[in-house]
Amino acid sequence: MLDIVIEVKNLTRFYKLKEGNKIALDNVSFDVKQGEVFGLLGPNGAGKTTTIKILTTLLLPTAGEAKVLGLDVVTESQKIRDNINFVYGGERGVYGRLTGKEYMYYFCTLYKVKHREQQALIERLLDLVGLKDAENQIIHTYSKGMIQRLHIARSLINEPKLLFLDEPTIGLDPVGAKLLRDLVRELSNRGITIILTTHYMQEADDLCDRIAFIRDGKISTIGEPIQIKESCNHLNLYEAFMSLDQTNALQKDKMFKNLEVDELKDPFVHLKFETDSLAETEITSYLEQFGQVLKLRKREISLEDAYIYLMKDAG
Amino acid sequence: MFWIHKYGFTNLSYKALYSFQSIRLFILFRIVDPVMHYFFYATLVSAMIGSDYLSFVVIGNIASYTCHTIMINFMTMFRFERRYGTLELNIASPTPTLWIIIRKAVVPLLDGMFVFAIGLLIGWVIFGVALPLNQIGNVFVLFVVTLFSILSFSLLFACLSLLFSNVNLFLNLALAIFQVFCGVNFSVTLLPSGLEFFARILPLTHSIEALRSIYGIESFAIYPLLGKELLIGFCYLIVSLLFVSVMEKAARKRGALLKSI
Repeated sequence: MLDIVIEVKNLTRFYKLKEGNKIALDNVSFDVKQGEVFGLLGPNGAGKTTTIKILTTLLLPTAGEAKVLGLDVVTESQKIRDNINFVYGGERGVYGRLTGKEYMYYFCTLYKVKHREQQALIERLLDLVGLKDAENQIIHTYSKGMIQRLHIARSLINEPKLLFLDEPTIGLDPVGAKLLRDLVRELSNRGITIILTTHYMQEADDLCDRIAFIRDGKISTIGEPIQIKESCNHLNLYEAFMSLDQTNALQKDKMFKNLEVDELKDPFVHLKFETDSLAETEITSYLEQFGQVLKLRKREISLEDAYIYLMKDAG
Repeated sequence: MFWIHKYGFTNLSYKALYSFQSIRLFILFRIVDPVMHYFFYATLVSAMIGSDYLSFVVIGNIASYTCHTIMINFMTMFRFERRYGTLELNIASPTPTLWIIIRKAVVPLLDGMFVFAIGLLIGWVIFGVALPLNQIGNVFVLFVVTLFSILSFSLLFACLSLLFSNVNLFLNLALAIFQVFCGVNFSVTLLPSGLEFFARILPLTHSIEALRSIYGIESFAIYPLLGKELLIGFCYLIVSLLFVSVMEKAARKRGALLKSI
């Protein structure tokens, strides 16, 4: 049985605005086990960052309880801060005039790393995140991906037991995002518990042991990615390749739900859609009125499909 | 702890956040600009009431310019922290916020020290306001006491500025109040009693009177004035400590207290 490192019970947070109270978190409860990569997914304004800010002790809850490593986020914030760290996505949070190495030295001092240990620690961390060759470059010259990796290196200075990553791959190119995902896996393998928020479903599916969907301050679904996908197995999702004669007519047709048409080389298209109860032969014969069906198959439910379905359901 | 070395906190804070990173800028803003500043007030006063009053105004402005330098640069460092999004990372670290603020004050203090020394030199070379050599010890004591009181006030000011999205407006307002009420260009004894009381609870007022007395322009007892300046500095320091503590709690409670710009 794995230890619980985060315990959240009925967590509620209001923001006082001129037009009245805005509920950012509404009775949220969940827990995170040691060594897990736990994903918090939801649309903008769902409450992900508020949750992370409360758990990193930067924000107080309005009501409810949250414990990190068995410590109360309200009364034991300093002890929590000694054992956690966080990374917010984007290019902010760096001193552009410093080199990567200088930036690390700066935070080593803030994190009270002994002077004689700083150099070895910095070399090790910059090596881990693949920035050893760029350590003497000014941060202004870093790419977004390099800045994110530098953030990760900074967040490891205090050897955290828990790491909060708030949209760490936002704005990164595919190669930069992959490097970062590999890094998250490496950290997870080293036993660090990771709380991850992201908008990228494939990333969450790849990295997370468990996922919570959050919307309007409430958690709608929580579980392992495979469980979440299985919970949507009743959905009849199909994809088809067609040589299409009547593109507009198909797009206006109401027979299929959530129809997506990706135009390939004319006249070929790739279709994704959902049906309630039609059999494959019925679907094929229906589609034939718009062109020639080259291939039709039932599609495996992806996390994105489950997210769209469950979040729509939650709304 | 404040020792400046390549990877030390002070040097890195300077490199990361300080406005003047080149010799050219430093000469422009730390020598040319104060000369122009002193010239402006000296010519204004000389034209209005004669050159007898020139030493009074130059000395007042040297102290005032030093204070401005420290406050502006202190504020600018925090403004950059907010712009870069690094303030939150600093505050979330295990180092107490007040200690971070104090350590970041080292560079503005060194800068202020330079501006003060250059100011006395400019006063002597250009305006003929010569420092009595037997008073160098007193000037040193005055300098230390004044830096303490200005730093204490700047700490409070830095914390307060975090509450405002437009730091520049707040800073300019404070600098104008200092220029008017600290006796930079005229004696605070000329102010109505209520305003004189206000002037005397500001840092710098007593230091300016003491500096003028060291130069023999006014005839107050120096050490009682410096004692009052020290006391005022302590009061601001205590208020700053309380304020930092309250502000940290309020920031966690409200979530948006530290306005980002």
